Amino acid sequence: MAMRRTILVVLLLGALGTVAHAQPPPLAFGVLNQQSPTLTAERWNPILQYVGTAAGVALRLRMGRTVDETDEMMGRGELDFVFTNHNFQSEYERIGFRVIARWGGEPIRSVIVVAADSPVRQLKDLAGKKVAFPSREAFVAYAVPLVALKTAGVTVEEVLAGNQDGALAQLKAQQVQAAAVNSRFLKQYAEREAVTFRQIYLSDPYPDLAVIAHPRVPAATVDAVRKALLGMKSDPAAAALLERVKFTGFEPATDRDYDGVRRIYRQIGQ
Amino acid sequence: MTPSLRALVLGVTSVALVTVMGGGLLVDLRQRVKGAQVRLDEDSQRLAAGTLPLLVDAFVVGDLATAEQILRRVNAGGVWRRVQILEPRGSRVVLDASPAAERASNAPEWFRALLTIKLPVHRHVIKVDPVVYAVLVVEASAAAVERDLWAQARDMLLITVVLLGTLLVVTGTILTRGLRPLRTLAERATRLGRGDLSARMPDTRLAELAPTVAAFNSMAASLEQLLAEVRAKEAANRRLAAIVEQSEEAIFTVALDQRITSWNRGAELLFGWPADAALGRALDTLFAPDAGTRDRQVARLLATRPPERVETTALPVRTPPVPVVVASSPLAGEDGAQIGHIVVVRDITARKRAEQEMQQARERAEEGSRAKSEFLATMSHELLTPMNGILGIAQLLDATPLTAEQRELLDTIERSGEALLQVINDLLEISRIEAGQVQVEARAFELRGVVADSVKPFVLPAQHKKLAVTVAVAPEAPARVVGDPVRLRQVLVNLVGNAVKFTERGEVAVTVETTDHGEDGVDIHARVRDTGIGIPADKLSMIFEVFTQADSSLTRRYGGTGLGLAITARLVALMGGRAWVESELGRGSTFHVTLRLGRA
Repeated sequence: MAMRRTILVVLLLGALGTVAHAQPPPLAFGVLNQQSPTLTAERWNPILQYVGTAAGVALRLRMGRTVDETDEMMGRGELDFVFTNHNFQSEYERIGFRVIARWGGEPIRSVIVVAADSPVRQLKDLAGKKVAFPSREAFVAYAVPLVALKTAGVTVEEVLAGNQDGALAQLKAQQVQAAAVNSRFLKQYAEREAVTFRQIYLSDPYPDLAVIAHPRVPAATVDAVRKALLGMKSDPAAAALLERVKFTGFEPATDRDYDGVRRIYRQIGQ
Repeated sequence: MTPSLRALVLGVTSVALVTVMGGGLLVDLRQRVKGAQVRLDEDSQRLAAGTLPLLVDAFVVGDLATAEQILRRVNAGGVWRRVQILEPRGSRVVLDASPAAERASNAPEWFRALLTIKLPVHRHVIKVDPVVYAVLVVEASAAAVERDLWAQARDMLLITVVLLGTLLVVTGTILTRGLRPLRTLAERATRLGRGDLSARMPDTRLAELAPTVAAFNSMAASLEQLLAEVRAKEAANRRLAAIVEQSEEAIFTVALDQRITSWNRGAELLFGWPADAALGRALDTLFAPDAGTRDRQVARLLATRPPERVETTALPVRTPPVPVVVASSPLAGEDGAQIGHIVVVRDITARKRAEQEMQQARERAEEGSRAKSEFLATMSHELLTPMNGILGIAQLLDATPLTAEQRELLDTIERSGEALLQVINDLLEISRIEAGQVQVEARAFELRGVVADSVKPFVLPAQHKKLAVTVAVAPEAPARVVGDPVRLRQVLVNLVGNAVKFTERGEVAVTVETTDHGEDGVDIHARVRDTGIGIPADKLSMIFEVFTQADSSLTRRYGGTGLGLAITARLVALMGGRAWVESELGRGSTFHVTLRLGRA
């Protein structure tokens, strides 16, 4: 038994070694912390393997422990590709990321929900109440609802829950009176957790997060990756994968598609 | 060195208990080790399974420091001894407890050596499909298990030691108390051996020792009794030996080959041999040979069964031969078998001399008596002749005319003469009897007639004294018998005459009975009973002696020679009978005569 285990470890490490040394270093594909790293990896590792294979480049998921860390990694140029929209904040505009695709499906909206039996009916009812946000770096889950609250003249007590699931978990646990989240995550969370929330605010639609490429990445590589991303939804080989990760596939997008996002960021000073 | 039963029992018990308990502890420990091994494996797996999800986040974000922190934190309980992370960039040992840290389990080295715990090593792949981030290799730590097992084993060891100690103390106490009687027994046995026969064991309640105690006490009692008997016998033997040694008689023993084996002082005195010179000598050198033969009477005596006495002559070494009587008896050994003879030799010189003197005296007396009888017979005859002459002349004178005075004088002469004649006749009779001149006849006669004739002469004198005289012969008595009727009548006459003479009032009764009727004869028993003056008790034994009356004054008062009863007794003796008297002074006497008479 011990012998077999030893062989297994050697083979496994051999495989890792192959990845590490036999091929050129993989390109870093950053993903914004919308979920825990594990859940993120569970979704993105199969996608990146598919895309990498299809594009002929090795891609490796990279992310920080927090949104800030991931943003810092992005800012330091450690990421070749990034799935985010934080690059539209003014501080990252100078890097020159290029939008090559966006997350498919319905456009995302900001949603403020309360418990089904909550007396809160409208935004002004939240004045002085605790409202959970994933983080201050979140776009539809922070920037958009914050603008809406400011517009409504309501000031709330912000509770930062780390990510989308955390914000909804706080509401479910009645630690806060409301939670501001991405509409896509709300739907997934409600289905997963079998819980019903009442929506008191729904924003305008915004394009979902974009896949952007660092300007240093060669154009051919970027094109190959773009093609692979956009080809997923029509590739039968990716159907099972998309089904497993509950994803419809990437859509074409351009930098101008995110002007609304830039505007919101600018409204809150980012 | 004498082995101690207590030490032996305690030692064997200790070894057995230590072996059994130690074996039990080892078996138990093995089981516990197996259980612990399984638990260790499960704990390690469970901890790893629980930790992996925590690690994935860190590996996804490439935060190995956090991963290490997580691993150290979850291993706070020390489940793992070594944790290693294998990743493409190389391996990293996150945790590796030093041997010293492992020994911090506080279990001693020897105990750990006993356990032989196999430390499970598990490998867990940290991945999020399809990406493998790292392999986590964890090696379980035995420290906690060893600590737990040591704590359990220590408790069990402690309990075992306490139990063992208690058991040994209890066993030791029981043995000490149980062996106490044995020590007492040894002490009593020593006392007994030193002569204290009163040493006894106290009773014990221990069933195992009670028979031993009883046996010892019984043995001691038997010894005491036996020794007392032996001492008593020794004392008796010493007394006997002293008696034998100091005896005036010569007492010695000879072996079966008739060589002397012991020799007392009496023998030294008699034979003149000191003991050391006498021992070993042949018996026949002590005595003179028989006249005419060279046989030794004593040697023959020893061979005679049963032994008899023999008179012979001893040969002292320095003095003249001595007449002796020799007696012997067999000398038996311890087993009862004869080992020799006891010989007792008595000097009979004095007896021989006395016998010789007595024989000479008897011969002289017999000669004197014969001469006296012959003299008396002769002299009586010489007296009788003139007395008959005197009485005959007196009768002739009585037939002549005499004056009254002359007739009275003549009567006196006749009574005196008759009295003198009676005296002479009695003297003659006794003399003849003592001279052996009286022969008893054996002829048939009428028994009743002789009895009646004996009484007749006294009927008239009795009537004068108003005495009743009765005669009774038993009906079963034979009519005719064979004997000497004259002597029988003489005997009865003497007795009836005495009875009438010494009785003043009352009666005189004569009875004759037969006591035994045989084929060849009949025993008769004649009694003559009177109610007379009686005889004093101290005179009864001499009443039948010659010239004896109970009271010498009686002769003067009642007359007679005093020879009547002596003649009677001698006549009865001549006829083979016996005469005796029963009497009570003042109340009367009964004279008895028994005779054996033949059948006619």
